[in-house]
This record gives sequence, structure tokens and C-alpha cells, in this order.
Amino acid sequence: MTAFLRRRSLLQGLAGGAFVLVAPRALADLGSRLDAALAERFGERRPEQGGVELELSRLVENGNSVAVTVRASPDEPTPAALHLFMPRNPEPWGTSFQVAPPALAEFSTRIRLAGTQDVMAVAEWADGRLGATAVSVMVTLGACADDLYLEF
Amino acid sequence: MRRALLLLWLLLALPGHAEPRAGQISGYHLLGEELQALQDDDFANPGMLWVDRGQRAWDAAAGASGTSCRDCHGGPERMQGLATQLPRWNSDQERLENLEGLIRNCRSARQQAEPPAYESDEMLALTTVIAHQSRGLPLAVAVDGPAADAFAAGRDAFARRRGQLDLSCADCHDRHAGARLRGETISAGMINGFPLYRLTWEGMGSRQRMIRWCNEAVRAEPLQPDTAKALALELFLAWRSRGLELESPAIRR
Amino acid sequence: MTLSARVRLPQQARSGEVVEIRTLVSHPMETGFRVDSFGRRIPRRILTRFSCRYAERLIIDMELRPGISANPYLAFRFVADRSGEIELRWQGDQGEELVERGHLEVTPA
Repeated sequence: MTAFLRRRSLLQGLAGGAFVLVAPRALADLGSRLDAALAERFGERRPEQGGVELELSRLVENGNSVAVTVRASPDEPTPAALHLFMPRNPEPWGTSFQVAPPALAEFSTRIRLAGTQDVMAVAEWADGRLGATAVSVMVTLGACADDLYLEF
Repeated sequence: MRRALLLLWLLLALPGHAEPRAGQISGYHLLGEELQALQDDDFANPGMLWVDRGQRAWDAAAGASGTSCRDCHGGPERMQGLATQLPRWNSDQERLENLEGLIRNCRSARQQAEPPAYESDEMLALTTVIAHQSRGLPLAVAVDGPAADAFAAGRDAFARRRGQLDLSCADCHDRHAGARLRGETISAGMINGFPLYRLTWEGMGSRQRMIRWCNEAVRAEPLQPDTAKALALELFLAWRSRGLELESPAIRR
Repeated sequence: MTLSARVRLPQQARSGEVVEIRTLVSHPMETGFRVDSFGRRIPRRILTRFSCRYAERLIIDMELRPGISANPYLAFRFVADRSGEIELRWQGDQGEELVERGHLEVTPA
């Protein structure tokens, strides 16, 4: 093994170690915020993967207004409610949309995103079953210091 | 298409091309597709809430005179073209007058009512409904004759460095227009969208609000509205934007 | 700004047709998390509920939280199955309420 390769594997090892040390904690924080929000809405129940579609841009120009569409998957029975969670927002629970026939299980709105995060849509069926889909959204930062300008 | 436009703009805006006409590009072309679609959607564009409200304010009687805008002027569509010519020289008062100033004069002198405050919802509603009548028309302010001195003062204000960051308007919006600043593209400083709905504000703002915002961004004392210097700068900015179509209510980040 | 809405309601449809309602309402949706330039917390002021009744049935009941953008936009769809009144209602945490009504005429398919 050449010195170069050894150095590369060392770097990889360091990078991997850093990941182990740092990432789980950040993920756990986000995960626990999401988990707390889910527990508040659903008690002990947790969603399975799928059953709901979530449409929004992967790259967002301004987190103050992000177009989003949530709908139940076409192959699923109509759920009783659709929910949106934004785990990195000060309040992760975004909205809950109760729906009854003849309304379709689908809505479009505009949401706030306090930074890059995985937005999660949850469908809730009358029998208590939950299905979820998450989309990673990157929120870019504007120029200058936007938070100074409440009065101007 | 957008990429090509940007490229063209960047080429034309290279240093050495001081002529502002070369670097003109509406901020609309710096928006992503989603926000362009929002501006183009006459239902969902949140600025249209102010157009609606402006229409109601236009029809409402105000002040001791008991008259509405409509009583004298007819419908707001009679204001078509007005916003493209402002600010303009008022020879009676011997000063520049912008849209807000016109409304305030009309309110106090003719309707004998309390004039709406700058950036109040009532003011933004009236300025937006009036500017909206000129949507699609090119900006065309007069900068000669009696306005010439004010125009020169505005040009000077644009070039003068200010604030703790020691930046002039021209430093960013002429010399570095099109460059990246964090996630943002520095605009060419065109003011054809105002009054506009800015996502950062989560609401409407006037040209003068944007000037103050920019002043604060370079840590400078914000220019107060209705001062000769602020109006002169607005005139120069409107001239820099000449020929661009008015977009109010535009969407900007 | 006083509460006011823009709504696009269907007025006629064939039975079984999917129709759309679009709404935009003026409201700051102040989150309660922001502070002013003196460092004082700006109190929360949000719309908390939106509902839609169609032909005497509650078909949409939505809870809104601070994560919904200022001047909330909402669009949804339903199957036109009978003629009747459409009633849209927004309620805020300051006791404010706004109601918009329209009539949908449904003709046989």
C-alpha cells in the first residue's frame, strides 16, 4: 500500500469517525423534535413509509413562502386527514387537513421553512393507520442580513 | 432562456460599460421558476390582495370633503401610465413628487382628510392599485428641464459611498450586478416592480422602503422618505430602469 | 391589514366533475417567535382554522399553525355531486372571523 493510499484511508477513517461523533447527535436532535411532534398528534402511533405524496421544490429561494402540495397516493383509500411537519421549524407541526367526501384528499398551500430540512407529509386513515413521505429541501440564504429589517 | 438572458446581461454589465442601459434586467429574471409563476398568477400573487384593497380604498369617501378618489378621477384605470412617469417635478411646490406624495397631497388638499402614512396598508393599497394600472408599460421619467438638478443629485447619491461598509449603490448594483452574494444574485437595482411583495418582508413595500432596506444593509443611516435626497435617488433609479415594463405587484425575494 | 379574502369558487359543474377552490387571505400569520428591534417578542397572531362546507356537509376542516406563510394560500378539490351552498370560513386566534359564500349549480352528467 502506498503512502498516498494509507493517507487516504486514514482520512476516510477520520471522516467516518467525525460522522459517527457528530452526525448522530444532529440527527437525533432533529429526530426527537419530529418524534415529539408526531407523539403530540398521534400518541404511540408512528407512520409507515408511503401512502402519501409530497410535492415541493428541492431548492428553495426564500424560506418564508414555499409552495407545497400534499395528496394521498392514488392507490390508497381516502384518508381522514393529511398532516405536514417541518422538523427544523420552531414549531414542527405545520398543519392538519381533515377531509371528508366528496372532497379529495389533496391540498396546496405555502409554508415557512426555517432552514434546510426534511419536510414530512403524513396521511392518517380512519382506522388509525399512518403513512408518511419526507422530502429533503435545501433553503438558500439571502444576501445581507435579513433579520434586522422589521421596521424598514 | 433565463440562463441565456443572464449570460447576455453579465456580458453587457462587465466593468467598463458604465452606461446603465446595457446592464438593465428586471429582477423578475433573477427569480426561480416557482416565484416567477407566483408573480404571473393573478389569483395567487399575494400582492393582488393590496390591489383589491386599493380598489375599495379608491371608492371610499374620506375627510371633510366627503369625496372619494372615484368622485374626481373616475375609475383607477384612469391612472394608467401615471406610475411610469413618477417621480416628477411639481412646479408649484418646487420639488419632486412621487406616487406617495401625490396621494398625500390629494388627501389633504382636496379630500381634506388625514393623509395616509408612508408604508401604511392604506398607502400601499392605493399606490399598488394605481401602479397596477400601468403594468406592462415602460418606465419613462422626465429628467430634463426643472428636474435636471434633482436628477443630478440622484445620480450623485447613487455613486456616493455610505455606511459602515462604505459601499455606494453603484458598487453593488452597477459594478457587481449579477454576482453572487450568499444564495442571492445581486440585482441590477431596477425599480420597475414596485410596490412589490417581498418574501423577506412577507408583505408589500414601496421603492423608498427598499432604499431604506438597502441603506441598512450597508449599515448606513436610512434615507427618510419625502426628503429631497430620497426623492432625487428615486428619480435616478427610475431613470436607470427606463424602458423596463412596470410589473406591480411584482414578487421579489 | 383587515381580514380580506380572494376566492375562486366554481359556479357550475356537471355531476361527478372534480372542481377546485382557490383561496388567498390577508393575514400576517405572526409566529410569536420573532422579536422587534428593541428585542421585545412580537406576540403570536395567526389564523388557526379554515373550514369549507358544501351542500350542508363539512368537507374540509384545517388547522393552521405558524408554519403557514403570511397571507395564507390554500387550494383544494372536490367532486361536485349536488347543487348547494359553499361556505368558506377562516378563524383567527384574536377572535377574528371571515366568511365567504357562493353557490354551486350542479347539472346531470
